[in-house]
Amino acid sequence: MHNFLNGVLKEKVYMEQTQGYMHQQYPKYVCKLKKALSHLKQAPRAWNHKLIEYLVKCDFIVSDSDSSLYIKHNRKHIVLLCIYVDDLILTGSCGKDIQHLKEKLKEEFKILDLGEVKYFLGIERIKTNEGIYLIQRKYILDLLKRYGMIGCKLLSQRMEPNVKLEKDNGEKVENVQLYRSLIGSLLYATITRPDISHVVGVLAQFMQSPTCVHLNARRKVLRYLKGTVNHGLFYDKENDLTVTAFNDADWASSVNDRRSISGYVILLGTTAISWSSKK
Amino acid sequence: MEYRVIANATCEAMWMKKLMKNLCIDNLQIIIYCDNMSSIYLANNPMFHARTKHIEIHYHFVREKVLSRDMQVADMQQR
Repeated sequence: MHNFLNGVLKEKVYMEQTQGYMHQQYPKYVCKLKKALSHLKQAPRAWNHKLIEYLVKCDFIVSDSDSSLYIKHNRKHIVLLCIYVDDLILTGSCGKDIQHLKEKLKEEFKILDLGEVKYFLGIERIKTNEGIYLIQRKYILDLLKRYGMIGCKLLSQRMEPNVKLEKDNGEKVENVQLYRSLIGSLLYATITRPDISHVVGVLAQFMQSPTCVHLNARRKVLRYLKGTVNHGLFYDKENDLTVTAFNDADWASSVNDRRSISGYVILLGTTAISWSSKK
Repeated sequence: MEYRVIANATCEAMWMKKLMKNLCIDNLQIIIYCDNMSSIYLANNPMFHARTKHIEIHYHFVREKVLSRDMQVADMQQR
């Protein structure tokens, strides 16, 4: 968080003098801030501005497709930089360029080099000789622990086939909060798990008034997840760069409002890079 | 309905194409597979038909992308 202190403030912000650091002659004066403090509302924004300003000075260009991806073309080579608040991921086609940039960044900001990415935002990255493997093992295990399902039996199906979940079918659940927070956690787990994307989407439709039927369905997803914690996405090193998309639609499948469910998955070579399942 | 999903997938694929171009990977080949013949014909053949009137115009950018050879729409069985 100390990175937030780097940001330069554009607005006028005043602060009372802190206890123990009062000016002896003018104890009632206030301080005008030149740089951001970490609890200030505009601190993240100020920091982001400062960082981007520096990156642009280093010939980085913002990607058209994602505003947190920065690209630098350097003759034949390319350096990519991904920003998440104050965490940066660097990659590129030339090790020298990356090292050079790291040193430059170290001069400008106080940064810590954590080496190769192993764990980022709940996603584990495992590098093998064949390629890269992305899983959310720890995240899913923590999730199971949090909802008291760590000792549950395993299940091979994530959802009962040919059963359509309905609204207001069964007894209402009292602890709605629990159901909603669980759906939120499951949604995050779909980042490396396209296989549960559909069932989470279905369960999320009943967030308004979950019943015991939905709770059972939710329990099944968790039991399925427990048996498949090691599943994830594998990106082969020798992938050919062709994009293939598959799509399908289930017309008017929803029992309650006759709306359809559509879905697609986009593969780069053999690995999924984007998918969606939507009502 | 299937055609609408193709349109959704096309959006995402085009985004991907742009990203790849940013990363210096040009002429990326994109193929979208679908198991509904009529929507494949609809995407590949820019013809007006009275029964497709209800398909709103913004879904027809799929045709535009197929015509400009940005991508292809194919049948799942012929894979």
